[in-house]
Amino acid sequence: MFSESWAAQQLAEFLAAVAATSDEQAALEAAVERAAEALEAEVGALVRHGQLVASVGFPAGYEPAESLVAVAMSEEPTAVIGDLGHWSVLRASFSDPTPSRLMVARLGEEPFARSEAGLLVAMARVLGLTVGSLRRQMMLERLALIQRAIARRAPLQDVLDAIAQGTHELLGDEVVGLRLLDPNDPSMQALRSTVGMDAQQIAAIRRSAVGEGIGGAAMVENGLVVWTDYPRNATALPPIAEAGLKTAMGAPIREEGVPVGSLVVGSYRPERHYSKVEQETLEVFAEQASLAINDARTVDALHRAVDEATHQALHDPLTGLPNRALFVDRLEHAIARASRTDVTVSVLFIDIDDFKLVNDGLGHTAGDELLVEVARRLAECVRTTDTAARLGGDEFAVVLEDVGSDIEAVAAARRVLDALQTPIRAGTEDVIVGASVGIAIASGDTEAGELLRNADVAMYRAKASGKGGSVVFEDEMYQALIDRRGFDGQLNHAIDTGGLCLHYQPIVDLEDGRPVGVEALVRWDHPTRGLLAPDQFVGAAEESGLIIPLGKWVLDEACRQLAAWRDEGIADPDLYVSVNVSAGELLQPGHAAAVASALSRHGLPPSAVVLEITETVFVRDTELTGQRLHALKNLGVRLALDDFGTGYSSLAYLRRFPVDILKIDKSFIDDVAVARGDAALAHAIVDLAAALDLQTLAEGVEHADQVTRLRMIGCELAQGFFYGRPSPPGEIAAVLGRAALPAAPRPALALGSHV
Amino acid sequence: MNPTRTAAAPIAPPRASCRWIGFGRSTQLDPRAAGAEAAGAALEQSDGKLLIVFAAETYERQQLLAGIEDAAPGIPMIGCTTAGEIAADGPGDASVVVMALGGPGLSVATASAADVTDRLRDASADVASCFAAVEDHPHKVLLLLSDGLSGDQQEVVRGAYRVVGAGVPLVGGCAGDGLKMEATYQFHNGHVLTNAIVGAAIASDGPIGIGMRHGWRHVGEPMLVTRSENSRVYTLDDEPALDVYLSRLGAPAEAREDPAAFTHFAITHPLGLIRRSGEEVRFIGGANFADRSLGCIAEVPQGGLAWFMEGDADSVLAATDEACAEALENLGGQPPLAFVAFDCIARRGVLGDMGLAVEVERIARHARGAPVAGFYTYGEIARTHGVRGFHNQTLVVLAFG
Repeated sequence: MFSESWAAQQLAEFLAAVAATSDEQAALEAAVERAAEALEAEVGALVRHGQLVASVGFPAGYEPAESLVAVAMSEEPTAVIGDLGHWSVLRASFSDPTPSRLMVARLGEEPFARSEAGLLVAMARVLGLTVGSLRRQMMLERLALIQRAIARRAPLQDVLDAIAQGTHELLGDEVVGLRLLDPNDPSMQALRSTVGMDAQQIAAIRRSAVGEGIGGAAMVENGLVVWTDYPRNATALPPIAEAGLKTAMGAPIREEGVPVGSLVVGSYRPERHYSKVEQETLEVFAEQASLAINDARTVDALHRAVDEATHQALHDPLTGLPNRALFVDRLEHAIARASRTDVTVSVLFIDIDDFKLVNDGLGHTAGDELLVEVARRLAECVRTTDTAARLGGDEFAVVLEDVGSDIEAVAAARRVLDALQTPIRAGTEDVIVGASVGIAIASGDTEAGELLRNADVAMYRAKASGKGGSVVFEDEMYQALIDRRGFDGQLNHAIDTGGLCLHYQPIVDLEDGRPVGVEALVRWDHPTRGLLAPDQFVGAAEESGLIIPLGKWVLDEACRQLAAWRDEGIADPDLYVSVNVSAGELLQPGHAAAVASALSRHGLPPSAVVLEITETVFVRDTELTGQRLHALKNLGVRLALDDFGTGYSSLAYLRRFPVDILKIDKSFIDDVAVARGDAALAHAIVDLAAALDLQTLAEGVEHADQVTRLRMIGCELAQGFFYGRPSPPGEIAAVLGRAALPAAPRPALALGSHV
Repeated sequence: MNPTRTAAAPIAPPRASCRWIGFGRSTQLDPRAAGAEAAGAALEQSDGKLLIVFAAETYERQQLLAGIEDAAPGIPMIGCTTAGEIAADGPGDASVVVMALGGPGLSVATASAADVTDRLRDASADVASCFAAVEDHPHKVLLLLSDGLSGDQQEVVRGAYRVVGAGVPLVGGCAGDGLKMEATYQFHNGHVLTNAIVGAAIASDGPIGIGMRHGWRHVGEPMLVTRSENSRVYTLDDEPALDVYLSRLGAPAEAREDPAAFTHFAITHPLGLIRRSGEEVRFIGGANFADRSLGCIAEVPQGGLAWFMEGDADSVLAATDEACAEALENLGGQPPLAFVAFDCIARRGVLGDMGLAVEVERIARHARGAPVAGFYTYGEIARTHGVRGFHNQTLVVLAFG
C-alpha cells in the first residue's frame, strides 16, 4: 500500500546519496548501491559504453563482469548470474551519450512491480543526466528541491510549480506549461502550472482536450514529442501559435504508466534545437511530476489523511468553493465575531433558476461548466471578507459580514443577480441564467444553521413569487418549519426518556389457534396529544432520521420483553416477536450487527425475532437492499414481507430476496369470506407463497368466517382483532398463558381499548 | 552455577560427525576463573576452530580473556560484551557464555578492525576480507560483532556485502554495555577492543540457517522525517522530534528529563521506517534534551515516512517462535547442532524478567537440546536477501546444522 510514496521517498534518498559524493566514480558506486538497496535487490550493476563501471552483490574483485554486462544489456526478465540460481532482473536505459544501463537483480523469480520499474527509470535518468555533466550540481539541486517538496508533503500545487520552474531554469525555454487531466472530465486537460505566460494566454488555453497541443500529443503518444515548427502542426493550440511560439517539446506525466498529463516547454526562437540530453531532462522533470502525483495520491491517503480529508470535506471539488460544512463553520465564526463587535451578519441563499434545463438539455459537462462560471462570478462579486460557498447542486450561499440592514443585503443580492446577467458559455452554447436569492439577517442570538435555513426559506419565497428576484426572510415564513421542529424535538425526547412503549398483538397458528408470536407495535405517550399510534409519528421520524434511534429502541425493548416472558415461563419457548423495520433503518450500515447485538444482549436465539419489512423496501430492489436482507438472513432471523399486495412491483423480488413470511394485507382479508374475488386473490397469494416455500400470515382477521375461509385456502398464520387487539405487555401476558386463542368461531377477546 | 556441558552432537548424518559444537557458561565472579571455566566446558574436543564469547560487561575484560586463553590456548576467538547473556538454561546478566566450533567439516577465519567510527564501511570490508582465508565448504556465513555506538551500522553491512557479495549471508549483533550506553567492547584473539568490528568467516559442510523477526506494530499515523542527519532525527512533521515522540506516546514525566528514564522508555518504543517489504525498526538510543533531537542506532533518512512502534509480550514472543522456525526451516530438515541468538535489548524491555525466561525457554525448545549461545544486543545484523541487513528491535537466530 505504500508502493508509490515508498518510491518517491526512495528517489529522494537516492538523490541525496548521489549528490553527497565527491567524484564521478563515487557517484556511480553510490548510485548502484542505493538502487539495489531501494529495490531490495542483491545485485546492482551499471554498464556504460559496454563496460561494467560499478556493481554490488559479488565479492570484490570477483565480479562476473561479462555476465553482468550481458544480462544488463539483454531484455530477459530473468537470468542466471554467477552460481546463485535464477534472478529477476530490472533494467533502465539512459544515454550519456552512448547507451548505458542501470540494472538490479533480485534472487528468485518474483517479478518487479511497476512502481519499482518506474523508480529505477527515474534513477537511471538522473544518473544519465548528471554523469559527465557540467550542470550536474544544478540538476541535482533542482531535483532535490522538488523531491524535498514531495517528501515534505508540500501541497501538490507547490510541487508542480517547482517542477515547472526547475524545467524553465534548466532548459532555458521561455514558456513552460504543466497540464493534468481534469478529474471531473478525463477528456480534458487543465493547465496547472506555467512559466512565461501572461494572464490572457493562460485564460485562453486554461483547458484543452486530450490530443490538442503538443502536451496532448505527448499524452496520446505516451512519449516525448518535439515540434520544430509549432504553428504548422494540425493540433497546435491557436492562441499559442498566434503568440508566435516556434519550437516546443512535450513529455507525458504518467500515473501507473498511464498518461495523466503533460509537461511542455516552448521557445519563440526559431533556431531553438532540443538536444538528446535536453529531451531527457524534460522527461526527468515529467517523471518528477508523475512521482509527485502518485505520491500525493497515496501519501495523502496515508500520511495526512485527516488534513486531506478535511480539505476535501470542506471544499466542493467542482468549483473549489467552500462546501456547506465549511460555509456553516465560517458563518458560525462570523456570527461569533459579530456578537463581540456589535455588527450584524447576513446570508444570501442563491439558487440557479432552471438549472435543470441546462443540465438536461446541454449535458452534464455543460452544466458543470455553468456551475464553475457561476461560482467564479459569485466569488468575484463578493468582498474578500465574505465567504461564497456551493451548498450542493445548483445552490450557492454567501456570508456577508457586517451587513445588517435590508438595504445593504438586498444591494448585495442585486450585485449577485447582475453578475449573472452576462451570458455564460456552457458546452456549445451561450446561456443566460437567472437566480433566486433568499436573504436572512441575523438578529440577536440567531444560530448559523437557523440563519442559513431562514435564507433557504426566503429563497423559496423568492422563487415562488417569480424567478430572478430576492426576498428578505420574515418570521412567519418559518412558522411551519418551527412547528415541525418542535414535533421532532419532542419525539427525540420521548425516545431518550422512556416516553415510548410497545403494545403487542398475538399472531396465531390458524389450525389450532395457538399463539406462535406477537407483533410489537410502538406507541408514543404524547404529553398533550395522548397515546399516538405509529402512523401518527413514524412517517415524521423517517423524514427527520429519528427512525434510527426509534427503531433501535423498539427492537431492544421487544427483545427484552420476550426474554422476560420466556424467563418467567409465560411465553412458549418458541414464541417469537415480530418487529417492523423501516427502509431507512435497513439501509443503515451496521443494521444487521445492531440486530445481532440486541439478540445477544437479551440472550435470545435468532429464531425468536421476525423482522417485518414493507413491500416498498423491496420495490426499490437495489443491490444494497439485497445485501442488507441477506446479512439479516445470515444472522438466522426470519424476514416477513408486510402489507403484501399493496405494492406495485413485479413479484420477482420474492425469488431474489430471502423472505420467510408473507403478510397478506388486510384489504384482501376483509371480504375473504363473502366476496369470491377476494377469496380467489387470497387463495392465489397463498398458493404462490407455498410454491416459493413461504409461510402466509393473514392480517386484520376480525370474524370467525374469515378464519374458516383462510383455513380452507391453506393460510397458516393470522392476526387481527378476532384474536386480540394490540395490548400492553401486562395484558398480553395473560393471553399468552392460555393454551389457545379462539380457533373456531368465538367472540373476539376484549384485551384493551388502545389501538 | 556449574558450567553447562552439552554433549557432543553425534547426530545422524555421517558428515555431521565431522563438525562439533560445544558450549560452556560460568557465573563465577572472578573473571579469569569464569573465562577458564566456560571455555574449558565448551572446548569438548581438541580440534576447536573458533570460540564465540559473550560476556557481561561487569567482568574485568582482560582477565576474562586471559582465563579463556588459559583453557583454550591458540584457538581463534571473537566475542563482545553484552546487555545480558542467553543460553539454553536461561537468560543471565552476570555470566560469560562460550560456544566452541570444531571438526574437519568446518573452516574458520577471523579478523578485526578498530577505531572504525569514520570509516565503518571500509573497516567492515577489511574484516570481511578474511573470507579469502576460509577453505571451501558448501555453506558459508560471515559473523560480525560490532560497536553500535560507533555510527550507522548499515555501513558495516554495506562494507561487508561489497566484499562477500550476495552468496554469503551476514549475521551478528552490536555489543552491549548493560544499557549504560557509554562504551561497548569487542574481543578478538585475546585482545579487548572498543569502537571496533570483529568478524568470523565460517564455512561448513552442514547447512546454516538464519531467521529473524521483530514483533512490533506501529502506533497512530505515520510522520514525515522532516530533518535528520544520519542516525540523528531533529524534526518529525516539522516539530522537534523529541517533543513529538514524548507527547504522541504519552511518555512518563521522568522520561522527559532524565536520560536514563528516557532510555528505559525508548527501548520499548522504537521508530519504524517504511520500506518496500514493510517497516524497518530503529532503536532510539537516546535523546538530546537541549536540541530536542532523537539519536538512533542507524540511519534515519530525511524525507522518509516513519511511525512510532510498540510491542507487547505476546507479539514479541510470537516473533521468537517465527524467527526460530525460519532458521530451522533453512536447515533443510537437518536437526540443529547449535543456535546463536542475537536478541535486541528492547525486546528484553518489553518482556520483563519473567517473559525473558519464557522467551529463552522457547528458543531452547526450538533448538531441540542443541546448545544455545547468544546475547542481548544494541542492534542486529542479518542479511539473507536484498542488500539491507541491519536491524533493530529484532531477534536474529543463526542455526548451525
